[in-house]
Amino acid sequence: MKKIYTVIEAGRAAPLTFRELWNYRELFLMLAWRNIIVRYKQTALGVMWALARPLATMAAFSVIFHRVAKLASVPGVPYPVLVFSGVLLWQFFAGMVANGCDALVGNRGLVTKVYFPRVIIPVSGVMVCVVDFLLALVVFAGAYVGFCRGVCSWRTALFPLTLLPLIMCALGIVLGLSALNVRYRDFRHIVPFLLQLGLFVSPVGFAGGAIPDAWRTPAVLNPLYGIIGLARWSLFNVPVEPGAVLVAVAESVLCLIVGFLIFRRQEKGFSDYI
Amino acid sequence: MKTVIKIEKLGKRFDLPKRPAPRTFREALAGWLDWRGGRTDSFWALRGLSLNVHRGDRIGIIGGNGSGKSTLLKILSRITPATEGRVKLLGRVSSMLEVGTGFHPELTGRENVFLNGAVLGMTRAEIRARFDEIVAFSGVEKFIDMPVKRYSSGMYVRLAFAVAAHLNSELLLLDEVLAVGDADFQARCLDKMRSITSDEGRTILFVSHNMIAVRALCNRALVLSHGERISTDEEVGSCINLYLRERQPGGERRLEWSRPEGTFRHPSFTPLRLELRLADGGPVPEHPSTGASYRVDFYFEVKRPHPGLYYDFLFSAGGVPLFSASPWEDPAAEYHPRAGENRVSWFIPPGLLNAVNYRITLRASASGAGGFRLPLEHAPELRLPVSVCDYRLARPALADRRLLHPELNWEIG
Repeated sequence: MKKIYTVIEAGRAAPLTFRELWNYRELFLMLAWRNIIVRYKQTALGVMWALARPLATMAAFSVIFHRVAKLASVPGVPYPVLVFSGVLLWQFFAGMVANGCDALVGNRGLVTKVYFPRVIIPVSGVMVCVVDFLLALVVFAGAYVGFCRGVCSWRTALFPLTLLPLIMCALGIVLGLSALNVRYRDFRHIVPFLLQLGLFVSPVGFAGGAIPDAWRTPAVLNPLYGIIGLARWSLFNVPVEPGAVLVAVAESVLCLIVGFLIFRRQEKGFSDYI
Repeated sequence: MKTVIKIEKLGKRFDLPKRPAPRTFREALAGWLDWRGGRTDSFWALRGLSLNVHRGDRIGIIGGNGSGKSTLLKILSRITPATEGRVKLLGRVSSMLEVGTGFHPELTGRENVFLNGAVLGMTRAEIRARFDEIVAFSGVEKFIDMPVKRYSSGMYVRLAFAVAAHLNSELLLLDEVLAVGDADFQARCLDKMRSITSDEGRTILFVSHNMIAVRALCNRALVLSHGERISTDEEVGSCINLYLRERQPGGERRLEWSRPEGTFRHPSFTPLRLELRLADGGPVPEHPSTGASYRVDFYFEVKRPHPGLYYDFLFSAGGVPLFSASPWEDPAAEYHPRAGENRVSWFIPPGLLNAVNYRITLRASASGAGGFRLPLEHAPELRLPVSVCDYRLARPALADRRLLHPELNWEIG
């Protein structure tokens, strides 16, 4: 057995190294697996819920924005599929943020009673949403192949890349807010509200082009605007706004860095304040 | 011997805000703006602790509530940061500050074993290899695929302990985990832990209020009080006695009672004095021991003897009556208090008591015409805090919660 040597210095949180994270990979997988299992235990529909929510949202938004508000889709794409692409990304993002922010507080027992790199908790909390996303993605792929073959091109293969800024952005928010939530429970109340707001501000139920020019500048500051725009560019062969994408990527990277730094800064006080 | 844990001047300070801690962002903002209010009080949960632990040591950490024991374990297991000092640890560390950390009620017993094992630092392969052993030890085989939320609390705790008992890290930090399950299971846990430590050469830091467990498990000990080490040597027995003495609050000891003015008196029975001494007449030492014999002297006055008079001494501990002593039960002679001042003495044999706080309370009454009942608030009472264990302890058990510890005679055929 190899020797493990640990030094504890006053006033410092345990250093976070890749080796340390690697050593705890099994715990990470176990916690992620636990979250996934527990989520759909004692539900009659089980994982079908992962599909029911995006499909219901898609139906509702198609009616509201297409039938009632008379917004148009992009060429060659049925309106519900356009909405579906937005809902798919938005629910992935919102799910990560909602689950991750409560993760530390919800695992008080673990935080106060055992040691492991704390990053594991919010990140494993987010893994549930990855599973939900992949399931919904399968259904979306079916709809895409069925109804949008005309707009399919080499760009479709780039779709997974658009997830990168989305995940970075969500992870940054999750790390930062889950850590702040330990000290200030206010974030519990702020987050659901912001997510609700974000759903209507982001181009989820409509194409980005539907936003009036006067509102374009503030809309572009929302990273989800650029990210969803990029995804629709790859999927539906519509023009993209390079400026919006640039803003989104820059914001996502910044978000991840700041979130991580907040997390590390708060980390050593977790067990004392939680 | 190889040093596996080296603790140097370890300390942990908690800052207590003078006003309530900001629980919300708004309060915190207000606090930052009002910088004059930012001063805090602080207290040291642990201070200046240095210790070298060698491989195979089993160190008992003893102390009252808030003495810093748990803080020490939390620092060593890296849950909470230290304020000063440093620690070097050699080997894989597992801490059990609680039984069943990470157990999830919705998961089955089987799933929880794997989850809890991972939380405690076992790999999946290790858990799989020891799974049957774990389940057999817990005795919940039949229910292993049922969600633990349907378990009885006993089953839950047994399964949780079973996982922890099969940890195979070199350094184990244990906090009060034995205080679970029924007495029988606790004894099994202790046996298991003793075999872990003695057979496999592991190092254990063991925090407990259970002195018998500490005595059974540990080969060294230290006593903490208010965050500082107060023991000078590491011998387990002397540390335990130091702790037991430390624990006695000052008011608990009352070896003499004499009648205050204006309290109960009756023509046929007026208690005058009640005293507790050693059987040989000497004063009770500062730290009474279980091995000593004690005598109780009672003086009372009778002006008009009453045929229905009865009194006895209730001997109790922690509110539990243990026995009563009455001179009418003396098999050697008929007992009739006479007019004038009376004295009775009775003896507590050596090797009967445990290290527990005892009370001796007089109860008296006379039935029939001209009778009385001694009101409880006027009843003479003595308090004897026994703090030194003299008996030999062969096997871990939970004797320190037992109110008596009689020395019995044995015949081994």
